[in-house]
Amino acid sequence: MRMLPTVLLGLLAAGSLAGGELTAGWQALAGYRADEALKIFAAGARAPDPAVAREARLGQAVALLAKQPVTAGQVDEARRVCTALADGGPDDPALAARFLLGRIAQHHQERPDPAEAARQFRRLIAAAEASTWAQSALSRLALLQLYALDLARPPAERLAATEKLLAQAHVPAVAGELHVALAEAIFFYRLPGAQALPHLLAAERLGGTDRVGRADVLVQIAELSRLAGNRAQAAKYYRQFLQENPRDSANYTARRRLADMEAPPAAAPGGR
Amino acid sequence: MKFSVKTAGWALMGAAYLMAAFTVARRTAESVRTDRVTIRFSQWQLEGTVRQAFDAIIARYEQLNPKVHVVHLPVPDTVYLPWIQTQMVGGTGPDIAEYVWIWPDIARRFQPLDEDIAQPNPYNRGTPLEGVPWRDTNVDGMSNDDSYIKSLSHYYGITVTSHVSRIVYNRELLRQITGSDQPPRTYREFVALCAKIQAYARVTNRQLVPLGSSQDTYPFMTYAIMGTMGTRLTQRLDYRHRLQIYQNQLSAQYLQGDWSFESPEMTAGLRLLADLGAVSTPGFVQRRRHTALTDFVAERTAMVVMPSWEASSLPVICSFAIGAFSFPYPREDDPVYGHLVQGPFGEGPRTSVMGLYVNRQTRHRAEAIDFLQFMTSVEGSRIFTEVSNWQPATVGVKPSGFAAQFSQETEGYAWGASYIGITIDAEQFLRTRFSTLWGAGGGVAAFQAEAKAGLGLRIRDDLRREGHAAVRNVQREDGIAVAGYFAAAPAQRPDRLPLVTLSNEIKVYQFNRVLAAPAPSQP
Repeated sequence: MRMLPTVLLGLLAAGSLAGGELTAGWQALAGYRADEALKIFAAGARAPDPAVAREARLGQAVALLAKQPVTAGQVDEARRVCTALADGGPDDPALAARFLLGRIAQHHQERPDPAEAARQFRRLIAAAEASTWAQSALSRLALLQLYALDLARPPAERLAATEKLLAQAHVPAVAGELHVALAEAIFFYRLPGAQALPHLLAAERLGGTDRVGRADVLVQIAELSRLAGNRAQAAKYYRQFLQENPRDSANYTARRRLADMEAPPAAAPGGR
Repeated sequence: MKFSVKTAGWALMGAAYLMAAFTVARRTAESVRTDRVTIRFSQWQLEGTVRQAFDAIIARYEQLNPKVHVVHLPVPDTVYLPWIQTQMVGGTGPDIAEYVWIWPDIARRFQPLDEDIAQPNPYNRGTPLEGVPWRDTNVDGMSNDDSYIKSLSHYYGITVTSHVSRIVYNRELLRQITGSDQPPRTYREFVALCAKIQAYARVTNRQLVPLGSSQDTYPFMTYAIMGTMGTRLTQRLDYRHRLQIYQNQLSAQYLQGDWSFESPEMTAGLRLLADLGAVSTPGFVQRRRHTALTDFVAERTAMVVMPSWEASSLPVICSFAIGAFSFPYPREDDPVYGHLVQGPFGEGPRTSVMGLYVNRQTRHRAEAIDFLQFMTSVEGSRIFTEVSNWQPATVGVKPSGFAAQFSQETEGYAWGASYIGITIDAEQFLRTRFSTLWGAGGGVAAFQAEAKAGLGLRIRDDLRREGHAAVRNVQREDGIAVAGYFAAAPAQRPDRLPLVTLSNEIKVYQFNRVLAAPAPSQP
């Protein structure tokens, strides 16, 4: 298997590489072998097929962001490559490059630039709203709007502005993720917990959370429903939580609360 | 024929060389067999009979699978981390390695097991766990930190045991002093027992202290006591409505002024700790664990704080009968602390530990997974507990007779907040300040003043560091997500990228907001 990159590099040198062979470079990147990937993509960038060359240049940019130690020079070079790709056409590498420009400004450069990150994400969403790249950018843009931009505005206003992103979420899991981001911000800014309940119910319905995140959502719905006096809904979600997470640390408390919710109202002790 | 001394010397050296060469050649010949696969498995648990337990599991596994040979590499804990890191970086790491979720480079060195754990464990055929996904045969559903790596959102470690701490006591000595060998059931009974032991020591002029402790073991009691005393406080702090609190959340809330060591629940917890210190071995904060063990074995203490992994050695070294009990935390009917607590107190669900990870570079993945499946099957887990006296981590497997005394209490409130074992530097800071609580001239107020003066600074450093680590995680996973997209066939590409989970990325922003806010006045 170790011979594969060598063979590919030979093919690249001979100018006979087709787009499909760049897969080896992506697989090397996914396997944390950025050096190997960089060599494959560097050779691929010289391929005569423009589509192959563009994908290879994107690969180079991603590899530069992954090759250890990542230097400021590498990040600058990745940004330069991504800018050229993003401005050079409407294909997948262009959208991916725009997405990466947002991520570079958000997390990869030494001093994050939330405004620039948001600008890139908004451009991407405006250009290809339904694409994987725009859909992936939505929840990350939401975080910028909730925690890093317009900090002079009250949190409730930032939340209201961020809720508008929901209309652009076409993938159910992306919408679910946005609802979770909104609920978490409501909790973090200590706004009334009841405001988070509709978001959590939507997130539970739409998906988008992993197993641990889903457990959070189920308990949170149950608890907020209990506090709102919706005993039936609270019981339903305590039950669901216990069924899906028989070994969670909150199980004892959840079982006690479920018993309270299922008891006749007069006999149930008051909530906190 | 006449031999000179020089000739005899050369002959002797030659014979020695030939013998050494023969020995080496023979060993090499023994270890290289083409009819079976050899996998290597490293771990650092050298307590009691744990090594023998793994050897017994291997022996049974090899009997069932003669074409696989498992080499057990027990390495002392003092050198394990540098050893395993060197091995992994050098490409000579074992196929299976014990590792800890908080250690570096899990994603680079080991491979996720998400698909494997969703399948039934074949070694559970014919048992009540037949057909059950491997994940759900583990006592915590592999939700522990070593199995499910939250920052990567993948399952990595297969855990084999669980641990709790208990107070181990000398049954015969207790009977001699109190007329009964039954342990105390309430906090007030515990206080009375300690007073009786102290009185007995005075009357008999015997060097005897109620409770043995050490710098290695006191945290077990301290964390649990502060956590249980803080149950009502923790409920108030659960602004996320999750019925549990992560330690970094607790740290952030300290900076936000939501709690302090002067909060009534914390003050009560510190008073209880001060009382516990007064009945413990003098100078225990400076003493190491083996001195506490020696004092107990030599009957200079009637009880000793003991984690279950060390307690498994006690039946071998104690000349008297021993028992074990959970610390009897004050409950609602306690005249002093009752109004602050809400029990019963649980120790959470059983959380398993000792994560075994599969090397990303292994050439024998199938065999490594198969061996781990046997180890954590009903049969493998039974061998483990019977030989090691450690807790099993497989559902339905009963702990050995001795280990049963250390079974985790799962029925009770468990909020997961210890208030001491918070973030890394903050925890170390608080531990170094306990001398002001237990030292001469110290006390609760002295500890509170120390905490107030220095804890916030340490928490800030911790959160800043956690934020940086979370960003590095995001950076690494960005590349993996984009690579995964393009590596897939066009028709199979995802409709959203598998980036680092949103909860991990939210952490970066929330910590930044907490750190940017001016420090409020503490309650």
